[in-house]
Amino acid sequence: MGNGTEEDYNFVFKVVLIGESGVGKTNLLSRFTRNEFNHDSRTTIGVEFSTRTVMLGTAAVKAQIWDTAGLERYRAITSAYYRGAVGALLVFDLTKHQTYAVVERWLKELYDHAEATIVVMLVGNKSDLSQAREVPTDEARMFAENNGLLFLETSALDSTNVELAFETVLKEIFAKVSKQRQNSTRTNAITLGSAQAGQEPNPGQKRACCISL
Amino acid sequence: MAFLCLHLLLDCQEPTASPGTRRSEFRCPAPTGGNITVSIVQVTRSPQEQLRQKVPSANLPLAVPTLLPWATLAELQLKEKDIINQGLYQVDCQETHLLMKPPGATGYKNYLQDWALTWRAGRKVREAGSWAERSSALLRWEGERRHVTGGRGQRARAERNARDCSLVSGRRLSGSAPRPRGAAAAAAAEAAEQLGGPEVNTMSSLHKSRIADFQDVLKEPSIALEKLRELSFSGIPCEGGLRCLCWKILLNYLPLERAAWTSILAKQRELYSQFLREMIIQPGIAKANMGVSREDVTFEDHPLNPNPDSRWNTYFRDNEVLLQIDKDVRRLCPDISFFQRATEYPCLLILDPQNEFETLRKRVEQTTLKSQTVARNRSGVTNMSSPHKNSMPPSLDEYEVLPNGCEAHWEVVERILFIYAKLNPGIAYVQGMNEIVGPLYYTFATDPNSEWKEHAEADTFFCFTNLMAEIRDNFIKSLDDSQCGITYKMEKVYSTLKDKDVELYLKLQEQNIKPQFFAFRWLTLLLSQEFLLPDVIRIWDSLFADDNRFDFLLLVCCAMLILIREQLLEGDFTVNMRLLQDYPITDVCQILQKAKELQDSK
Repeated sequence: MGNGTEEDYNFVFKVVLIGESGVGKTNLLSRFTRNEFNHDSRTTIGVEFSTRTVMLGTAAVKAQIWDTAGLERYRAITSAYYRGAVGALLVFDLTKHQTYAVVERWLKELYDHAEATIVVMLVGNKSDLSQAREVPTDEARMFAENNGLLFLETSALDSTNVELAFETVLKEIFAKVSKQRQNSTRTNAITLGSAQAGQEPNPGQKRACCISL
Repeated sequence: MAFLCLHLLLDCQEPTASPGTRRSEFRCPAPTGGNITVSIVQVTRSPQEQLRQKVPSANLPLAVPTLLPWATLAELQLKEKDIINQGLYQVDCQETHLLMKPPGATGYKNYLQDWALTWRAGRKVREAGSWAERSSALLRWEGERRHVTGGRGQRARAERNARDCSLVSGRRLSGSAPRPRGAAAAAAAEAAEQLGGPEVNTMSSLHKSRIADFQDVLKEPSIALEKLRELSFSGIPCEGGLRCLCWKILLNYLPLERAAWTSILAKQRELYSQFLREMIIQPGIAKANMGVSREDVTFEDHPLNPNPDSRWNTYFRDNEVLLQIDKDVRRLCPDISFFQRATEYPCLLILDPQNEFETLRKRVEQTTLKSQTVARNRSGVTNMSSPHKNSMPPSLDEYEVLPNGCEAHWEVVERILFIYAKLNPGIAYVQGMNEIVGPLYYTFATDPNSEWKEHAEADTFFCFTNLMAEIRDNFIKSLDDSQCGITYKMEKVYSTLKDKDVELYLKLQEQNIKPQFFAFRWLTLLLSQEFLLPDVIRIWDSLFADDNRFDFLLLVCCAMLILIREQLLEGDFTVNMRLLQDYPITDVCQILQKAKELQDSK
């Protein structure tokens, strides 16, 4: 198969990046998957897609990250991208309060389209611009705690916490999956949502499966 | 000796040389045997050398606009003798807005060597990496000599054979490229073989004859639209402002009757300055410290007036749209420096220091300031940072701010979009429109005809408005699922694919790769994010020439899929998503040709 991108992995987790336009979703994606940052990345129209495989203990987890357009107009289109997502990074720009003020709306949209068990992390991006901060860390952390979200502040520009953010989400998903696995008597009792999530259609061979939590 | 050259913007990590210095010279093998000499000659000196100290060099590859202060203009020159002797394309001297980032510390020389090798190899450049691709696209643009083969209708076919030779000759340059498949192309190939002789002369005279064809059509008192479409479909030469003129006609900005042009242009350009006066100048707040009476502040209408129809309210609402536009136009075409550079024709009406008008630039700065203050209040934070700090929003200082009286091209684009949003409140501004107006403005603002170039702003505005009239439904969410909406079009791409290549269609279906995942962007933006600007412009020649506008676009999308079918059939979901998100083929002529084949095989 594959054009030299064949990797061995045990799980595929679909993670979506959501949040207002211009908060830095695309750069978080490129920092995590390619270790790149671009001051002038173009506006995301529709969706962008990238993957990276990380090791969690002995398990290789392929993170399939979907970066969606932030603008209201494109949300109708993006709702299709939520399907099958097991993790989400809800990103706001900590130097622009407006992007934080609408987090609740994004959360609602996420729960409308994704499964209720989805792992969500609230991410305050652009922590390198702390002198222009408009959203206090404590306020955001409190909001996250009250809503059962993970929370981190990141900087895609200087890489602070970017790895940690994605890995924390992936670990959390992994923990949920493992738990589910323990509960079920047979491994393959885990729901294989491959068709829904647009997965490689050979779960038997690759053990690649998209887990529905 | 007349040099044929390309202008290059070089990142000058080396000490700045004085203008005229030969920075590098090297020889590289020509495809037809022998060698060509390439020299790179410094044209300008870096204007803001001292700024170098401010940004650590580690950040250089990250931020293209911040590179500008260090960039110098150089020319890549090829000796005319070499060009003729070696049967290479003639490269017309036109300024090029390419910012070159040398890959790593090896500097520009190695890179340029790659570049020249790329040039030598024609379009087989994929393996040479992305910088090489960029250069090759540039070259295709500057010395565009290849056209889509195949004709529309039997009668025209024979006439075109001679012209199509240029395509074939072009392919020879790339050596190993397969011969075009279409019947017309085969005929053209034969014709080319019969002609024989020194190839370079054939090419250049063919290109000249092509230009002459355009000129013939355009000089008629009443232009034959069908004929113009047919010619434009195969690519419009950029010489003599032909492309700008053709686009203006194809986009219904200029009527077919030549005699009416002067008066229409005058009328529309005047109308545009009226828009400027009404929508940018008047709502602007007169400067309080000027001592001018504040006509905008009355008892009936003042900034705190809660009435939604009040002028002030409109002003604040507009500012939200403006901020969105501002955010997007600043990151327009980041691969090239053009939009960050100062326009030769700043809008005097607005920038005249005598007038003290509130420019959009100021408005954005003030609005950013305002929204920060409001936000602070709402978050209940008491420790406000100093106003001085606020006056420079972090997003602004990443860019070189041009001095007063100058404006960058992106600021012109911003104005066009803002006026469009004001005049079309139903749709206003939607992200992505910036990507539509960009190539239009670029084309008009680089018009060799300076009389027209001066009016690029107004002309772009009207052409953009006309173009949007045809594609605006793509941007309207409520129409998504209607017959004219984007969902329908995306499905049309798949149903066409099903027709043309059912195996590939089934594969994509099986992997659950939905057209939303890639074709949404392809269609909405008319492919402007999939290819480099020069190639986008070439594609648009064909799209604008389509009489059932934008049916051909659907075929182009299909062709793009079919051309990578082997890879798609082999790849898994991830591989295929990557292929579609970052489309691998850079030769748009190949794509257009395939699309044409699909059209003919109906």
